[in-house]
Amino acid sequence: MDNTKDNIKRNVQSRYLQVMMGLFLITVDIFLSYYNNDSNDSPGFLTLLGIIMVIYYGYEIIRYKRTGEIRIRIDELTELNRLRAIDVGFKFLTLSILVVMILSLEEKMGATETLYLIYAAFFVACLLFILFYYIIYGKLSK
Amino acid sequence: MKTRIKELRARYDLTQEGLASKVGVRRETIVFLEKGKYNPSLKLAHDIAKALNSKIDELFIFDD
Repeated sequence: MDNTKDNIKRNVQSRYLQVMMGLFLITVDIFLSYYNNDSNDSPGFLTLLGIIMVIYYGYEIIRYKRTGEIRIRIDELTELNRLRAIDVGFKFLTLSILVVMILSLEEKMGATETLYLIYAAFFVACLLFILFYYIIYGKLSK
Repeated sequence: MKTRIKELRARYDLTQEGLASKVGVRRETIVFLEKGKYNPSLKLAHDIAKALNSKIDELFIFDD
Protein backbone atom coordinates (compact mmCIF):
# COMPACT_ATOMS: atom_id res chain seq x y z
CA MET A 1 0.00 0.00 0.00
CA ASP A 2 1.55 3.27 -1.17
CA ASN A 3 0.34 5.29 1.79
CA THR A 4 1.84 2.78 4.21
CA LYS A 5 5.22 2.72 2.45
CA ASP A 6 5.30 6.52 2.20
CA ASN A 7 4.42 6.87 5.85
CA ILE A 8 6.97 4.34 7.02
CA LYS A 9 9.61 6.13 4.95
CA ARG A 10 8.62 9.43 6.57
CA ASN A 11 8.84 7.93 10.05
CA VAL A 12 12.29 6.43 9.36
CA GLN A 13 13.49 9.76 7.93
CA SER A 14 12.28 11.56 11.05
CA ARG A 15 14.41 9.23 13.19
CA TYR A 16 17.49 10.10 11.10
CA LEU A 17 16.66 13.79 11.53
CA GLN A 18 16.37 13.33 15.30
CA VAL A 19 19.79 11.66 15.41
CA MET A 20 21.24 14.57 13.42
CA MET A 21 19.54 17.00 15.79
CA GLY A 22 21.11 15.19 18.73
CA LEU A 23 24.57 15.43 17.14
CA PHE A 24 23.93 19.09 16.41
CA LEU A 25 23.03 19.80 20.05
CA ILE A 26 26.21 18.07 21.23
CA THR A 27 28.26 20.11 18.76
CA VAL A 28 26.62 23.38 19.81
CA ASP A 29 27.21 22.69 23.49
CA ILE A 30 30.87 21.82 22.94
CA PHE A 31 31.29 24.89 20.73
CA LEU A 32 29.73 27.17 23.36
CA SER A 33 31.87 25.67 26.13
CA TYR A 34 35.03 26.08 24.06
CA TYR A 35 34.37 29.75 23.32
CA ASN A 36 33.18 30.50 26.84
CA ASN A 37 35.96 32.28 28.73
CA ASP A 38 35.05 30.64 32.02
CA SER A 39 37.21 27.51 31.97
CA ASN A 40 35.22 25.86 34.78
CA ASP A 41 32.27 25.39 32.46
CA SER A 42 31.87 21.99 30.87
CA PRO A 43 29.33 20.68 28.35
CA GLY A 44 26.07 20.10 30.14
CA PHE A 45 22.39 19.88 29.49
CA LEU A 46 22.45 20.17 25.70
CA THR A 47 25.10 17.46 25.44
CA LEU A 48 23.07 15.16 27.67
CA LEU A 49 19.94 15.79 25.64
CA GLY A 50 21.88 15.24 22.42
CA ILE A 51 23.34 11.94 23.65
CA ILE A 52 19.91 10.69 24.72
CA MET A 53 18.46 11.60 21.32
CA VAL A 54 21.29 9.93 19.41
CA ILE A 55 21.03 6.73 21.46
CA TYR A 56 17.22 6.53 21.50
CA TYR A 57 16.57 7.32 17.86
CA GLY A 58 19.68 5.50 16.71
CA TYR A 59 18.36 2.38 18.45
CA GLU A 60 15.01 2.77 16.66
CA ILE A 61 16.83 2.98 13.32
CA ILE A 62 18.89 -0.12 14.08
CA ARG A 63 15.75 -2.00 15.15
CA TYR A 64 14.02 -0.99 11.92
CA LYS A 65 16.97 -2.20 9.85
CA ARG A 66 16.90 -5.57 11.64
CA THR A 67 13.18 -6.24 11.95
CA GLY A 68 11.56 -3.95 9.38
CA GLU A 69 9.26 -2.64 12.12
CA ILE A 70 8.96 0.93 13.24
CA ARG A 71 6.57 2.60 15.59
CA ILE A 72 4.47 5.05 13.60
CA ARG A 73 4.62 8.45 15.26
CA ILE A 74 3.92 10.65 12.27
CA ASP A 75 0.88 10.22 10.09
CA GLU A 76 -1.54 12.50 8.28
CA LEU A 77 -3.55 13.24 11.43
CA THR A 78 -0.51 14.19 13.54
CA GLU A 79 0.70 16.43 10.73
CA LEU A 80 -2.70 18.07 10.52
CA ASN A 81 -2.73 18.61 14.30
CA ARG A 82 0.81 19.99 14.14
CA LEU A 83 -0.19 22.51 11.45
CA ARG A 84 -3.25 23.54 13.46
CA ALA A 85 -1.14 24.01 16.59
CA ILE A 86 1.49 25.99 14.63
CA ASP A 87 -1.33 28.16 13.30
CA VAL A 88 -2.43 29.02 16.84
CA GLY A 89 1.10 29.85 17.97
CA PHE A 90 1.85 31.87 14.84
CA LYS A 91 -1.33 33.94 15.11
CA PHE A 92 -0.58 34.74 18.73
CA LEU A 93 3.02 35.63 17.87
CA THR A 94 2.17 38.00 15.01
CA LEU A 95 -0.56 39.70 17.00
CA SER A 96 1.57 40.21 20.09
CA ILE A 97 4.60 41.44 18.13
CA LEU A 98 2.30 43.87 16.30
CA VAL A 99 1.07 45.24 19.64
CA VAL A 100 4.63 45.51 21.00
CA MET A 101 5.80 47.31 17.86
CA ILE A 102 2.93 49.81 18.04
CA LEU A 103 3.67 50.51 21.71
CA SER A 104 7.35 50.88 20.91
CA LEU A 105 6.73 53.23 17.98
CA GLU A 106 4.47 55.39 20.14
CA GLU A 107 7.35 55.52 22.62
CA LYS A 108 5.31 53.94 25.40
CA MET A 109 8.31 51.75 26.26
CA GLY A 110 12.05 51.61 25.62
CA ALA A 111 14.16 49.26 23.50
CA THR A 112 14.95 46.91 26.39
CA GLU A 113 11.31 46.42 27.34
CA THR A 114 10.42 45.89 23.68
CA LEU A 115 13.07 43.21 23.32
CA TYR A 116 12.02 41.38 26.49
CA LEU A 117 8.38 41.44 25.45
CA ILE A 118 9.28 39.97 22.06
CA TYR A 119 11.22 37.17 23.83
CA ALA A 120 8.17 36.58 26.03
CA ALA A 121 5.90 36.49 22.98
CA PHE A 122 8.09 33.80 21.37
CA PHE A 123 8.09 31.80 24.59
CA VAL A 124 4.30 31.97 24.96
CA ALA A 125 3.84 31.07 21.27
CA CYS A 126 5.95 27.93 21.84
CA LEU A 127 3.92 27.09 24.94
CA LEU A 128 0.69 27.49 23.00
CA PHE A 129 2.00 25.17 20.30
CA ILE A 130 2.89 22.53 22.91
CA LEU A 131 -0.45 22.98 24.67
CA PHE A 132 -2.53 22.66 21.52
CA TYR A 133 -0.53 19.89 19.85
CA TYR A 134 0.05 17.55 22.77
CA ILE A 135 -2.87 18.28 25.05
CA ILE A 136 -5.86 19.68 23.23
CA TYR A 137 -5.58 17.85 19.92
CA GLY A 138 -3.88 14.83 21.44
CA LYS A 139 -6.45 14.47 24.19
CA LEU A 140 -9.32 14.38 21.72
CA SER A 141 -8.09 11.00 20.48
CA LYS A 142 -8.56 9.34 23.89
CA MET B 1 -19.63 11.01 8.46
CA LYS B 2 -20.07 7.48 9.78
CA THR B 3 -17.80 4.55 9.20
CA ARG B 4 -18.10 0.79 9.29
CA ILE B 5 -14.43 0.35 10.16
CA LYS B 6 -15.13 -1.07 13.61
CA GLU B 7 -17.66 -3.54 12.25
CA LEU B 8 -15.37 -4.81 9.50
CA ARG B 9 -12.37 -4.80 11.79
CA ALA B 10 -14.23 -7.14 14.15
CA ARG B 11 -15.16 -9.39 11.22
CA TYR B 12 -11.49 -9.92 10.44
CA ASP B 13 -10.50 -10.06 14.10
CA LEU B 14 -8.20 -7.06 13.78
CA THR B 15 -7.34 -4.81 16.67
CA GLN B 16 -7.09 -1.06 16.22
CA GLU B 17 -3.32 -1.40 16.56
CA GLY B 18 -3.27 -4.19 13.99
CA LEU B 19 -5.22 -2.19 11.43
CA ALA B 20 -3.13 0.90 12.17
CA SER B 21 0.14 -0.90 11.49
CA LYS B 22 -1.30 -2.48 8.32
CA VAL B 23 -2.12 0.93 6.84
CA GLY B 24 0.84 2.78 8.36
CA VAL B 25 -0.88 5.15 10.78
CA ARG B 26 -1.08 5.59 14.55
CA ARG B 27 -3.68 3.72 16.58
CA GLU B 28 -5.13 7.08 17.63
CA THR B 29 -5.91 7.87 13.99
CA ILE B 30 -7.99 4.69 13.74
CA VAL B 31 -9.80 5.72 16.94
CA PHE B 32 -10.60 9.12 15.43
CA LEU B 33 -11.79 7.51 12.21
CA GLU B 34 -14.08 5.05 14.00
CA LYS B 35 -15.64 7.89 15.98
CA GLY B 36 -16.21 9.78 12.74
CA LYS B 37 -14.13 12.69 14.03
CA TYR B 38 -11.64 12.69 11.17
CA ASN B 39 -12.00 12.57 7.39
CA PRO B 40 -9.10 10.56 5.98
CA SER B 41 -7.24 11.37 2.81
CA LEU B 42 -8.23 9.42 -0.27
CA LYS B 43 -5.00 7.41 -0.07
CA LEU B 44 -5.66 6.40 3.52
CA ALA B 45 -9.32 5.60 2.83
CA HIS B 46 -8.22 3.40 -0.07
CA ASP B 47 -5.62 1.59 2.06
CA ILE B 48 -8.11 0.96 4.87
CA ALA B 49 -10.69 -0.34 2.40
CA LYS B 50 -8.06 -2.64 0.89
CA ALA B 51 -6.98 -3.87 4.33
CA LEU B 52 -10.61 -4.69 5.19
CA ASN B 53 -11.43 -6.21 1.78
CA SER B 54 -14.04 -3.58 1.21
CA LYS B 55 -14.80 -0.59 -0.97
CA ILE B 56 -14.45 3.02 0.11
CA ASP B 57 -18.13 3.82 -0.33
CA GLU B 58 -19.11 0.76 1.71
CA LEU B 59 -16.76 1.78 4.49
CA PHE B 60 -17.50 5.50 4.79
CA ILE B 61 -21.08 6.72 4.92
CA PHE B 62 -21.68 10.41 4.39
CA ASP B 63 -24.74 12.07 5.87
CA ASP B 64 -26.50 13.93 3.07
